[in-house]
Amino acid sequence: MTTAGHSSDVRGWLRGQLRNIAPFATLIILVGFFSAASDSFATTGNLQNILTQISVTGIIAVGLTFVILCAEIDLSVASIANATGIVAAYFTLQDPSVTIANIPLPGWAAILIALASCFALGAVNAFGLTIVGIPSFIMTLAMLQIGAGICALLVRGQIAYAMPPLIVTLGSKSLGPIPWIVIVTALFLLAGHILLTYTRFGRYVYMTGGNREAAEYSGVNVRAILSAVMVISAVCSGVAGMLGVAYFGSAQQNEFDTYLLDSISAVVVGGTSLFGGQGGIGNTVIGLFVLGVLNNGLDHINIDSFLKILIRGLILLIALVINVYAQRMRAPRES
Amino acid sequence: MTNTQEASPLLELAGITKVFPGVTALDNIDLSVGRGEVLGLIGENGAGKSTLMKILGGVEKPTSGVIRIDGQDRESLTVTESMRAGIAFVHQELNLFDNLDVAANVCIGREPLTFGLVSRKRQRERVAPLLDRLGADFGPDTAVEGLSIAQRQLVEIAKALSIDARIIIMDEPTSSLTLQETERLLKVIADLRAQGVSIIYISHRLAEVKACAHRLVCLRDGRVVGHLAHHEIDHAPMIRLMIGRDLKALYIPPRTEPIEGGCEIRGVVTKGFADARLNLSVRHGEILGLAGLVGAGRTSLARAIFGIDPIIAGEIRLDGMPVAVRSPRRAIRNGIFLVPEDRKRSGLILDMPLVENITLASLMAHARMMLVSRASELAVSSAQRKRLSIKAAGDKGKVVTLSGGNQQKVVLAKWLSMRPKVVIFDEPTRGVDVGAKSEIYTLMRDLADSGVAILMISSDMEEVIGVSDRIAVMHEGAISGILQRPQFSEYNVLRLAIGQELD
Repeated sequence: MTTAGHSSDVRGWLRGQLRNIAPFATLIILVGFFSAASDSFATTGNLQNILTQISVTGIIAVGLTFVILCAEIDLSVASIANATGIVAAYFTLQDPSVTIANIPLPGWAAILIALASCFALGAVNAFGLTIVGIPSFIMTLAMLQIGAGICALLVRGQIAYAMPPLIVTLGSKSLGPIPWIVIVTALFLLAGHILLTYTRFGRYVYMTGGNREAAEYSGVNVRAILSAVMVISAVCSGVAGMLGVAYFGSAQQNEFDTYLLDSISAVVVGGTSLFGGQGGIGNTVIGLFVLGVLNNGLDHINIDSFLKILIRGLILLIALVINVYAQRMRAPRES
Repeated sequence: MTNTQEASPLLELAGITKVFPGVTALDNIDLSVGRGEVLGLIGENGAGKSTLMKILGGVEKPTSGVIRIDGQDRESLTVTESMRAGIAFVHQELNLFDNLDVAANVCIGREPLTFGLVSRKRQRERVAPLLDRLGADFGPDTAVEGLSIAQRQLVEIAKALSIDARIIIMDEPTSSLTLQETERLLKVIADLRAQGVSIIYISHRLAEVKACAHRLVCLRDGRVVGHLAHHEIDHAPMIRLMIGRDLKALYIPPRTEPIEGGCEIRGVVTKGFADARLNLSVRHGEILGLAGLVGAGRTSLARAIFGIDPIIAGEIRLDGMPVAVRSPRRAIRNGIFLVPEDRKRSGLILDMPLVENITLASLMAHARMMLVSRASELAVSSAQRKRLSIKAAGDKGKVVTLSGGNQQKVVLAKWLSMRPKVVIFDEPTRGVDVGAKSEIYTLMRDLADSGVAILMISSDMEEVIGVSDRIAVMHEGAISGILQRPQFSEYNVLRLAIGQELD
């Protein structure tokens, strides 16, 4: 092969890797910029802050990665997180000052009921998507509202504080210097990565997202795969919701609202294709760090907090542009 | 037919050639259509008719040659230029908006405006006379949703007339029409002709071409291979023109006799052809060719056997036992595999590596305690890659970078790495170059010799006759005949394919 041919190979490879390279380059640029701009940014204490700040988003994003890899979307993640957190609080003994008609149960029972709730909500999403045939965008939009409704009914505008002890530990305590919530997030990311990369199920997720028809014609039960990812997404959201409540120290309506956009941004900014089949947990990790560093860093340089919102929007826009271009720039076909 | 003005043809093509990478689709085509003339255009699937029509529609640009309209020379047309020149199409698949009414469909893109708003009234006034002219039995307000295919065709023709079309190209217009509807269409064509509209009529149905065309041109392998004047149009010369090639020594005879058993199709009714009951058997060790024109129901049958579409009645038996193929998954479990017609759409996951495409259907065999063993996958993949001599850089490159022939081999490798009992090949060599073609034929024969029952759907006459051990021919959803080897000829296949008896 000639040198020209060789260099075009390299270029082809780079183009193919655009979706992986661009987010990583963004992350490095952001870290470089904030380290230079602020003395307090590049410290171990702040690294711990960033890790903690991205944890709740991180757990939600694990499930969402499965859904987006299948070329579907789940808009109900934050709502299910909120509902699950509130369900756990509802079945935990609250302080007498909290006037919620709650039903105190042992901690393990509250956790089980909460997990069953998010599982059930995910199953409804799955049913709507695969059996009824409602597009996931619409189905989960309805579920977003249903989750909000459950929250409203259970707390009726009040705030609950107590959570089962296990959740309090995992959500707000530390193991030595490392917060438990960071450990849980890391374990979820790891489990998601193993599931996606090394198991048959994971392979089917990629195949379903890559070409649904070819997957079906190769014997993949596409409906079962889509159902599974919707349930996985809901359960991840539920866990994030419970830990989030413990982390915030309170359970109330609408407290997870920003997490919907954050988790979708993390997955997409990381380079996972909105068209399905491309990307993975590795991308999501980078996406989480990009968002985490951006949010945290903007605080360190004392930027106008209103401008912060605009900057986040612009970063998301750039990521989407790259996402679409990366899709177009697949390795060129040999004639 | 005296009103044909041969002296100044409306449209003339001179030396049109179209070269696609690796294929010459059209080779030096000369063609002319006079005012008010109906030109019949025939040719087998893949003869170049569609490419020629795409050039006239401005979708493809010719590599060389001249398009002369009203004596004015052009190298190529754009879609807009084609429309301005008065060229309109009535396609096999109709391009209508079901959710709109007839008037809106006819005026689409050219809606009459009043103060910038679409005027439904003027739209109706514009369309009503066109429908009258065509003798339509529906009004401009009718919703397209409720129209029959024949009525929709009239809407398409009205659309063509509304842009003052001078040449209407009809591509297999009667493929979904009943006999009465066909007759009515032929009458519409006669009226249009009398009004000075020229028509290029593409059809496989020789009787219709004979009924309406002044003159007939036959394409084969991208070349004009013959003309017939009106009085010469007859079945025998038409078929002779459409065939007329030597079979190459691409094909290998079977080394073993077919064994009894295999796949039996008993009284099967497929989706789309409610009144045809199909009975067919493919024995172990034989290649049964399934011939017929496009839309004859071959793919419907394949989809039913593979469990994509439900079987409405009847049953499929494998070695004497009925098998329930309610989904491709069930079919695969029973050893029935499909190599689909459109490999990019339904056979491959283009953005995934070779290895993952090959092991997709057999991942179970590579799973060790839930985890997929990469080593085991790669072993199978590289073994298949060598066995099928797939030209690829390795097992980890994306399938999208491979050529058509090699992509098809990847689809084959997926099934060969498992234990096939019945393999359905739907157009196995479409878009595949000759070299890869002969390799695929060899593979098919090896498979059959090893006892696999093979059902091969093909529109390539040469392939059907060369590769098959028996040929079943379909016509309008039914099996119109089964040919044994001594009866094999393109003439016989074509006769059955157009629904006629053998001589």
